[in-house]
Amino acid sequence: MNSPDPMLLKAVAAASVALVALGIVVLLASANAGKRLAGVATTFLGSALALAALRAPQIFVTGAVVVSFGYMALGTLLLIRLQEAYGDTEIPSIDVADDSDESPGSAP
Amino acid sequence: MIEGLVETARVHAPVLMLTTPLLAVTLILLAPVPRLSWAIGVTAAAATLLLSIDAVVQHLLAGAPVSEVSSALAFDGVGLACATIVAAASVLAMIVAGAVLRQFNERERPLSIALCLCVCGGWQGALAARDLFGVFLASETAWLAAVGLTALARDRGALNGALRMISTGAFSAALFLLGAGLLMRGAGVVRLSDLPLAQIAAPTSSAVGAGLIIVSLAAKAAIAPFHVWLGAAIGRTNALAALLLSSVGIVGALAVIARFAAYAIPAPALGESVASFLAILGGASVLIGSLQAIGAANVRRLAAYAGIAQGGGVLLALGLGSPAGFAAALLQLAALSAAGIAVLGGVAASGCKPSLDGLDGLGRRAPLSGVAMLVGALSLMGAPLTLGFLGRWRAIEAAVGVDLWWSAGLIIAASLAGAIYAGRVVERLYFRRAATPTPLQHDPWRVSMFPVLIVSILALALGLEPSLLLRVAQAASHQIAGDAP
Repeated sequence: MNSPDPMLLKAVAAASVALVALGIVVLLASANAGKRLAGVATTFLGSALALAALRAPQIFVTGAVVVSFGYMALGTLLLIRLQEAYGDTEIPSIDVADDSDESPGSAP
Repeated sequence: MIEGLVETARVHAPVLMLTTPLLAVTLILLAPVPRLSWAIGVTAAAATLLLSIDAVVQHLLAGAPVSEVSSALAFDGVGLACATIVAAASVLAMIVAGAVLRQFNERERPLSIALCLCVCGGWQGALAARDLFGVFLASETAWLAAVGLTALARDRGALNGALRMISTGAFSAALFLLGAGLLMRGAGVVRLSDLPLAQIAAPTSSAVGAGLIIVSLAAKAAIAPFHVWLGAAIGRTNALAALLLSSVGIVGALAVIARFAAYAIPAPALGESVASFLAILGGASVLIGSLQAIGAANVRRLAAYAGIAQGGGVLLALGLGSPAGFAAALLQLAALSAAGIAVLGGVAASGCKPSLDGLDGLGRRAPLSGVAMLVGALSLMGAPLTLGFLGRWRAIEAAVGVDLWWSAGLIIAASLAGAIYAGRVVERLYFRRAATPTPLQHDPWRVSMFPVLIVSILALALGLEPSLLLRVAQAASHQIAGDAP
């Protein structure tokens, strides 16, 4: 089997790091739960690509993809329950609702 | 014939420790009767604990060699000691679950037990996995189960905590994958046990990879500054999830860090950077966790933030890089798990409000819960004659032994901060009267809260007579230091 072009590997590695960074920024900074879930998918996509570029064993790449599906499935369920419980998926309004749920003086 | 079966069970103990919870989950899903599910869960957790105790006696105390029958799972010194701590915490938490199941809807009760078993089994798997792939899969299984358990709470605020756990989990998983990829590429190894002897071609990328793996696990262990999920998750979820997250989830993740460090630190090209990184992370966690615990006004959050500081202490001890440091880290892990069960179990057993003013006068209204919380708080502050004191004392000795005085100073500072935040709990319990006492619940299932009291007694007994625990911790740390490098 031909070994992959080193330049191509470097390009894939750079793209994967960019994807992971983008995903983490969305995870940390996005104000919408749905967008955070998109950040989860982007982060996993980037890390699976990085594994491929680093020529990790195939089972590792496959495992990363499988686990990402687990996260997406659970995250989607959570999104639905958040919509049902708060009527919204915007994090700031969810935080405000949580603050009002807690009795005064009980929050740290 | 029985002897043959016992011998087979011993040889296959790592596999059985994973398949037993899995079999129990299957039975629970087939017969979703709440109390039957609880009995199955307790039985499975107890069987796992028995297997791990037997393995500790065989391999750590008697010195019998470990049989390598599985290519994916095997015990090592630190992994086995940590797996026993996790198994003990799991069985105690599962018994306590009997008293707090009423917090779930009827249909959710068997599912909550099944999720608890998945959390426990997942961390056990990560502690027995021989390669990084196994550690990744097992820890992600445990984490996703913990997210599900957190989201099952009636309080909608728990959903927010679960969402933060999903975000943190994805961040953590991505870093683990990147780290594992870099480490495998740089060191050319997949198995953890090959790491100490690896001819590392690219030390820098390998060290970065090891660092990313540690950060990944630190996020799951709620080590500061990666603990954004902790307050929202433990502060608002149900009592069972809070108890399990603090005594099994966080302890499990810290245990996996300890096991990884036990293989990475002896590697010549990695050891120094890994030890330094662990020490820096531990120091930051001690400081941030202590400050947050001092400012907390909710006992669950106080316990959670105190756990961050204690977890920092574990990393500081690991960062010493010596067998004595590893032994101290194992003792601190046991103390952290016991304190979590005692404090959070005491809150759940009394049925009081989790806000700090809910504790006012609780020592008189619910004496047994009060005693459990008192012992837990004393252990958190590292008071003499408790397990917490033993762990910290050993860590200070180990730090002084390698001339890391700043590390010893931070551990002492953590104890001083512990005296402030845990002292507030003790003051509320015994030196205040409740303005409006919350009526305590009188549920016959409260009797299953007895492990909370047992943990308190153990935290004192092991502080007074620690020889067995010290032997196990020393044997575990010696196996890594003696065999792996």
